[in-house]
Amino acid sequence: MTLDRGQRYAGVVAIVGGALSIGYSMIALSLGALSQPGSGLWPLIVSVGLLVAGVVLVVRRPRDADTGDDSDTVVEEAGPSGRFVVIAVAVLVAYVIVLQQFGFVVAAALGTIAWLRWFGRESWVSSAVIGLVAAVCLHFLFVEVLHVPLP
Amino acid sequence: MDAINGLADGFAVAASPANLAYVALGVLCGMIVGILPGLGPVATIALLLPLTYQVEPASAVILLAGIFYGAMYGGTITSVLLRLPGEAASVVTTFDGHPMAKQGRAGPALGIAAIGSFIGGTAAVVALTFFSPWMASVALEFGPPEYALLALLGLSLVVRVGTGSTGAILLSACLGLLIATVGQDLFTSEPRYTFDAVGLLGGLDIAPIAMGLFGIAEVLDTVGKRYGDAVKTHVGRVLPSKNDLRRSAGAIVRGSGLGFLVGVMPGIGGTVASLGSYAVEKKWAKDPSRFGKGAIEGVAGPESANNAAASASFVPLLTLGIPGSAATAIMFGALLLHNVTPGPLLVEQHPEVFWGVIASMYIGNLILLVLNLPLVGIFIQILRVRTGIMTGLIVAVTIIGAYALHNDFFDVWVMLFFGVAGYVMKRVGLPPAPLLLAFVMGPILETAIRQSLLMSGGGLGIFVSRPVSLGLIIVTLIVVVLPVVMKTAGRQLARRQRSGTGRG
Repeated sequence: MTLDRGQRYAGVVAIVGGALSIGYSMIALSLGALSQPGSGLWPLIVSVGLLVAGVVLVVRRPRDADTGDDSDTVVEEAGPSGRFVVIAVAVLVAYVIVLQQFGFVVAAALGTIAWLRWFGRESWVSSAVIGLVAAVCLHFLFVEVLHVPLP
Repeated sequence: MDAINGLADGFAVAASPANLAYVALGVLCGMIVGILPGLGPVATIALLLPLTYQVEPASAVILLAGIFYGAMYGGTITSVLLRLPGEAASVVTTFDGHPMAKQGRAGPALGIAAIGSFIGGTAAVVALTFFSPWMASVALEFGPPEYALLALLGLSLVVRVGTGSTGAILLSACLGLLIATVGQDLFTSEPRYTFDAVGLLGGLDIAPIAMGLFGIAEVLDTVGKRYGDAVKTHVGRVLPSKNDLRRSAGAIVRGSGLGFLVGVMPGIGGTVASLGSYAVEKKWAKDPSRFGKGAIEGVAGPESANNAAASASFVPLLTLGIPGSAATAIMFGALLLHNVTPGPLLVEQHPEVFWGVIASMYIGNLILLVLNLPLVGIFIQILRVRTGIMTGLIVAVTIIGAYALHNDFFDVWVMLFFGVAGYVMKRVGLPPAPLLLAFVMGPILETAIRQSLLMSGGGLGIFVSRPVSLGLIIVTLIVVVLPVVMKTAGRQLARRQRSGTGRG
């Protein structure tokens, strides 16, 4: 996806989101008066800003986007494939669920091993060693040194 | 003078063994993340936030600030050797630094960058020492209308001068402002945008958002990627020759001054300072055609400027309570976590934080100079650590850090949410920094505007009837128009640079 098309999609989402948010701030919240601003006044202003930003992105000519500076070109480098990212997010979610169920050492060890094996392309042996060592070290650092209670 | 006494007390705080360790750890971490492409200073500050919960507020900011300006030094190294800027402000350094490396002059390029960074950073801290108490005393007179306009000025600067298209930055900033309204209204206690979720009633914290946007999002972006470039360039003698120094002296002085001025203004960061300095040096040079082919001034000026800007960005944070960049926004959050509110009263109420942080920056810059001149070769070895291992560890620390905020899994899910959101933003070309900055500015801005409206009894006249606020309105208007000119000039320069070095 090119940056320009991406920004255009983002613009459409912002227009829809801004419109919904304008509705929410006017109906669910109270606007009040200028002398007694209510809870909805500021969200309304910001939502209008969001909508305007969306419109700017959608109506802008593609040529304008091409003149972007270096930061834009850096962003446009080819990203990782979508499949990889979906798997990575799934690993992260699983990580947190295991953490809730079985505690930190188990989750950190399993999570780090899985991460190193699949995304770092390390061997099973080095993944396992690094994962276990990291889990124990982090546990020691947080619990013993920093006195942060861990699950 | 008060500033001298304050600074002396500050050194007493900063020179305690614990704080010396924190500043050393901070600048070391900063150097390392500056060298590693892909993990920026903002992400690192967010990741190390959890480590600062248990320490004194002064130590917390000393550590986090060290990461911030340390990264400015570290980012130079990969810019020169590999043409891979480790962080955004070092992009300009690739223009002349990399050609110098190709000519076998990597050593002097790194040396002059370290010297320039040291002088720029230190000069800015000296200016900060004397300027900020004065600024704080001026700011004591400010009321809600002035604060509203200052925050607005900061945000306009972000939108106007930030990197990326104006529409995209505006979108990102508005998202941040909107996310900041989630939770109970500060005035009426009405729940806003909570949709009956109890966890959202108290609003969202900056820490999980920053960790997600800058930590997890970066990690997701590097998944499956490898930075395989080994460093082949020989660094050689680091100390620049007399001739190099003579050529660079003016550039360093001009860069430091420019960097400080740019950095003091909220919303403009080191990237603008370094680009500006490069443009100035090219204008100033007798033979501008040398630029892009390894002119040492093209390294010295921008490097001095981005370090000066980094130090100067503490002026608005410490004296006005208005963070000017994503990095200082997280430090703002860190101070709030410790129940210390940055603002004009900080110097009175928490002198140990105010002066301790400033004093630590003198020490930190000195440590960085030592780390950079003789040890540069060792730091380059860090590039050999495989990305997969690095990201695996980052994930483990981030997740546990988010949990440790309040011992609550809600924060972890918030962080993951913003991680995915940040990744999507990156892919569609929305910059995450304005979102984070606006998120912090949101409550400041809303409170100030509503208080102003209450004070005035309804009209908007209060904003123009007070001299300072009227002045701020005028400045804001100038700022919104002027950068259009500056940006066009900057883009032309960048384009000329790119075609000059034969890069598409």
